[in-house]
Amino acid sequence: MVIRSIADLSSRSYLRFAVVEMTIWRALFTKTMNLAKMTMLYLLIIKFKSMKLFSQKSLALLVPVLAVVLLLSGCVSQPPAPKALETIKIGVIAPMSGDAAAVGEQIKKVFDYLLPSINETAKNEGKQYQFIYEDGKCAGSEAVAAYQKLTNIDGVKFIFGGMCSSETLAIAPLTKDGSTLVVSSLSSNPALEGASPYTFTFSYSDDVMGKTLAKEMSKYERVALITEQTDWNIGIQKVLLDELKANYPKVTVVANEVFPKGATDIRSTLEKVKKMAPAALFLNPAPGVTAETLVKQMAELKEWTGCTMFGQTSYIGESNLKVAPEITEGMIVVDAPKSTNSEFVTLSGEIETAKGTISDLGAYYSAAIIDSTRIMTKLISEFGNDPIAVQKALKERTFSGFISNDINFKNSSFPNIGGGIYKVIDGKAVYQQ
Amino acid sequence: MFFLQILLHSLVVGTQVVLLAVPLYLVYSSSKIFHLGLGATGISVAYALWFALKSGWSLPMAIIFALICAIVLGILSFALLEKLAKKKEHLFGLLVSFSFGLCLEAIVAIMFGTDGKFFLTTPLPTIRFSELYLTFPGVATLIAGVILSVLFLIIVAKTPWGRKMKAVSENSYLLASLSFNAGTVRLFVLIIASVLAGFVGIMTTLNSNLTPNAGFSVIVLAFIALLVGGVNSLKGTILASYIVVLIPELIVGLSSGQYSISLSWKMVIVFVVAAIFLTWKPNGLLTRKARVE
Repeated sequence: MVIRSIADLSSRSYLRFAVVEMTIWRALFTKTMNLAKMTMLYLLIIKFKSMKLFSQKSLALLVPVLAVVLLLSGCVSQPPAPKALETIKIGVIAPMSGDAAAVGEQIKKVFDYLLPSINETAKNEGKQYQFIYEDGKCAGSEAVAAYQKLTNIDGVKFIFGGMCSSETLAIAPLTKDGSTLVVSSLSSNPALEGASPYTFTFSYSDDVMGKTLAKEMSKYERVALITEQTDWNIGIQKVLLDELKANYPKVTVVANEVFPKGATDIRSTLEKVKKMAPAALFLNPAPGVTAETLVKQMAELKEWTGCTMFGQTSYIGESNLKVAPEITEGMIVVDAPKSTNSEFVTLSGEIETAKGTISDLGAYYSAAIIDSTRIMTKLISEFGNDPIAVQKALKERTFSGFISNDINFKNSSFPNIGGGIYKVIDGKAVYQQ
Repeated sequence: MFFLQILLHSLVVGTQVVLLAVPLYLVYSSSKIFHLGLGATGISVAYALWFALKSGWSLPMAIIFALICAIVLGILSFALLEKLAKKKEHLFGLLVSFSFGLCLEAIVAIMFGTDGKFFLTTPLPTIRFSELYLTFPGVATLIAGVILSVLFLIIVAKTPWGRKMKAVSENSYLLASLSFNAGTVRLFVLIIASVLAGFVGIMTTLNSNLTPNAGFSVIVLAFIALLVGGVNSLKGTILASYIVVLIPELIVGLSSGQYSISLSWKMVIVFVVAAIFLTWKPNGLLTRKARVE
């Protein structure tokens, strides 16, 4: 009716024709239409016409096209929701591209799987959550750009991430004013301790990993390290070296090689390490392609017999272990203790069935993502979209989850988690203690 | 043995640079443009081969597909650079070719993702001589590098085609008056350069892994080698390619134990070596002093 009256205002037959056409579509698609938007559209068309931006023919074509776009883009009002829910946006910063993209993709799978169940629970509190993903590329500068976009444009007050230590270390200083609360699930660099009162991580600290590694490697007199140049890997290397120097004087570090981030040809470095004939070798690459490249190029070199291999989280997933079993079989991998909680085992199985494999994350980090998401959304539902109140509750309370029954941040940015030792048997990292 | 093994690895890396420096030299000789997009061209061709193999095509079909991609990229380079070469706007040519490379990298990243890809999911097969070893792609790179270097040295220095190629960049109008088409020569050179870049892109990534920006570090080394060797001397370019790669590789590779120099220092040493040679011989390693009229 309204549309027809607008059409009558126009003396142009082509416009009248187009408006009638729109009315038919309207009748086909919906019973109600947003009058204000349609009026604006009409005025715009008249304006364009007066500016001679369109010919009569193209204008006649433009109107139906715009109508379709409006109909499809939700201009047409939907039936009113039974109850208005407050939408709380939460940013997720993870490596969606680059060498660690596979890990980022698996992180997204876990978040995507959890969202419907979290929203189902939050509905009772009149809230619903929306995750906005940004690519941190496992790099500080990219993570800062993602953080600025999430906080300034999307207006989020809570961020899950970054997932790489480089990402989280870069954004931590930006949260000091309490405008945003950042909770990582994977970052483990010890430098995160106290980096900001509003930055926490559900990962164990590399201090724990470094100390556990030092204890295991102290059984050998000649040890060597190969480290990729990233914040996370350098953090582990530093703790391990400090611990060996301080507590295991009999151990000699015969080689301590660092290679650039994402290096593709590590053969010369491997030759140097092999020449020093270490009894134990710690492989310390970032998760992803470099970890795979490293063991493949070691396998080409052959003759590593008599050298016990040690690894970290990068070798907990099966994909990096299967490429060069001659190197990885028997490797001792230090990571967090394996969660044997039956509910977690069922849940991670459901995630893999619904979304595909999450094996590169390993059990601990899958559990850490689930725990951090559940705990944070529960607190946000309770205290609202207020980072300061949620941070206060996070520091004061003790939580139970899959990673531990005693998750607390009372005196630390890390939860209270110990190290776990795995051994690679038949291509799988099997939990030992 | 350790020294020889490090030398062998370094020779493979040096030959990869030679194989990219030669096309860079050819394009420069025919158009006076530094075609920095060649690195990305090579990687794009390597992605084309990888894609074809992953799609289940037979190896010959995949190679033909990669070759067609290389030729198409050569023609595309010609379409972008020809006007600038004609107008002698060489700096614009460099910028356009650099942008072309960045565009190719971005397109490859969008199409295939930025995570690394492997041609083989298992360790590469190796050839062993006593305690020394080389991967198959490494051996192929060395052999191809030697053959192609000698071949292009002969073509450029001893054949009419080589003289014609140099002549188009010096005075294309004079050449046109002799009924030679300068554009055709440049098109041919760009296609050859793209195919060579594609070959080195495949060999480099076969020997390690495939990422969209893998061509950048090689083209930077090739560009430095071209400057150090002298932009008008193919012999100098080939020699400089080995110098700028071998010296840093040997310094990093042979230092060990307490005095070990990390691989992270490699590019720093490359630039120091280049700076020393450019200061000592600013016109190129093998360039002789010529009388200035």
